[in-house]
Amino acid sequence: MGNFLTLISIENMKLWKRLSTKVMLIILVVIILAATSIMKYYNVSHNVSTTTKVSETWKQEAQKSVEMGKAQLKQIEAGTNKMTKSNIGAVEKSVAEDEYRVKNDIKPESKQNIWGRVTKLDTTAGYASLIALLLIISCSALVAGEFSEGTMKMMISRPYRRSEILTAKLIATILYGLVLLVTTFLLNFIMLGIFYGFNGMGANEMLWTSSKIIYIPAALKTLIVFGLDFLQVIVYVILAFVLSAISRSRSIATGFSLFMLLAGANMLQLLAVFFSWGKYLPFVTSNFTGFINIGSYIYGATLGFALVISAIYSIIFCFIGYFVFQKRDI
Amino acid sequence: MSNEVLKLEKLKKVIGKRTIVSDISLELNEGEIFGFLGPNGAGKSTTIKMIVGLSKITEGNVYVGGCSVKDDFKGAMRNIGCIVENPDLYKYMSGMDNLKMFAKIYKGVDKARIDEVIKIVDLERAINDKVKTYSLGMKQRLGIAQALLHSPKLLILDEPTNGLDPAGIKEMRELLRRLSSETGLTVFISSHILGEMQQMCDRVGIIHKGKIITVKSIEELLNMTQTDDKAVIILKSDNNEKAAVLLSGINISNSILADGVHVETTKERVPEIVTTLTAAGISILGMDRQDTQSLEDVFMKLTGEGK
Repeated sequence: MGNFLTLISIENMKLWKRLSTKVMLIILVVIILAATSIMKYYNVSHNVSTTTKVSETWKQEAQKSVEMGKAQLKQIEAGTNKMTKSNIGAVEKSVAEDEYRVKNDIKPESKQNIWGRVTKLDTTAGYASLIALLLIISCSALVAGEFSEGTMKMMISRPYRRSEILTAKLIATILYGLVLLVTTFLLNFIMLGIFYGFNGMGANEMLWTSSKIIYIPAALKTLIVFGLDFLQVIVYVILAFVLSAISRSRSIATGFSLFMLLAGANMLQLLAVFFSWGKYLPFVTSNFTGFINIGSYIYGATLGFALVISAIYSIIFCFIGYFVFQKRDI
Repeated sequence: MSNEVLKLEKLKKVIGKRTIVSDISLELNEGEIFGFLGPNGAGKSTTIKMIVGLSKITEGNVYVGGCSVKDDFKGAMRNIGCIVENPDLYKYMSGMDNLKMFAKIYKGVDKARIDEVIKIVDLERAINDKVKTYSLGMKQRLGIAQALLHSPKLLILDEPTNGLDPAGIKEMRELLRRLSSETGLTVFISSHILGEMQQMCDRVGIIHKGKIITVKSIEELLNMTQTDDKAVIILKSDNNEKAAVLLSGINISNSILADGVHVETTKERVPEIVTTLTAAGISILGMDRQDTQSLEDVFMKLTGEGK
């Protein structure tokens, strides 16, 4: 085991000695600083209010929207339009939220708390995709890059099993991902806190689990959202990782993984709208935070279902990747 | 336990339907430098790749310091230091970082050992530069340095002199000789350049079309096809034409070439030649024996390539 940890530290060293690793971290930092600053600048220059007025009759309004939502749900379920059926998840979510509000007498907040702002910006700016992109690049460098640079043979002829070498590379990539994730979170938190205040640190928020509402600390919700984001990132990293091990080509691994991340998943989602088996395809439901933020976007899929499907595919992919790498002549 | 550092047992590699190498059996003793000789595509690299675990063994087995590559891969690899094909190291790192990284793999390789190895290969000046700035010779030396870090029993070098200039080749030869005599290191070198092997190795194995043709010491190999003690002597005198005529007169075949009279004779008749010529008043300026058997000739004969 001590030996394996050494191997991870070796892969980690290789990763950080590459100039691109540091450059990518800097790019991430610059983007986050720019995004928060531009947002602040826009809000100030356009006099956008960061507070909303909560009317005295919020309970009646919420009750009304619950009834409207329920009627809408009935209508959609009765209809045959498959396109609108994928909206069911979102309506279900808002109905459940309003119901919960009315039942437990939770008045909407006039100003979003710091955690809510961090989560919202993370989702709207798509930092998960950005981190996935950077990780795909560094993962393919670590695996496929070693083939093209010829250094893989320097690693294989060592007292390690091939599977250990490959696993160490995956772990080093994931560790780098954690660095990017934590950087993203901290910078967002600090910048948004400075610009709009650190209000509501101990606030509670509702979280939609695809079947019910749970009322948890907002900090925990943010943690869950970032965690789910990271799981989504790992799904794509594993794809890049496995393609690197199989194809030995950085361009194939990077290109195909990025295509899946940026366009392929959406195309497959369209399939899932029209065919009920579509939800079983890989990457269709891998936007995990979507289930929390907007509700289920694929008819018949829940967060738990999405996590299980992605886990199964990732395991299958890994199995193929390890198998090929194990048998291959280098 | 015997002192075989490397043992190949009926090694065979099949890719698809093609048999790349077959029936490769070898034993290397401690401290010897073994040359693995063969033309391009004979199966040298394939054999080496099977030894170091880069290629899967189809049949047979490899033992390194008694550990089977098939069953105790980690044990076998601890005994090996190698460069396969090119000395590909991490170009974006300095030489020192490369060595530090590889040193982590093995227990007991400390900073002092790293410095020692750097000194052995004489890379002290450039060790903190990035590897991408290195010349090929420097990369070879860094490659040897990383292979020596953990003081392996066996050093495997695949075509180590490729791309080196004559001075570099000489340096490497001396380095390997020194290592094997001082530390008992066993060296396994592949090459297609015969002259190098002749000067570097104790024993040579010749591989051709995937099979080992012969394994012999350099001397044995040189004497192999010498059936009698006929030799060609290059004779230089102040009057080559007259000498040639005289020699023909005593039934010694000869021919005049640019560098002198080439005389084909046996050892016993050399004094006769000298007396005949001096008696006729010809001054002999020099007599050189031409090597009839270079490794090159033996090799060509064995592999059936060329005449």
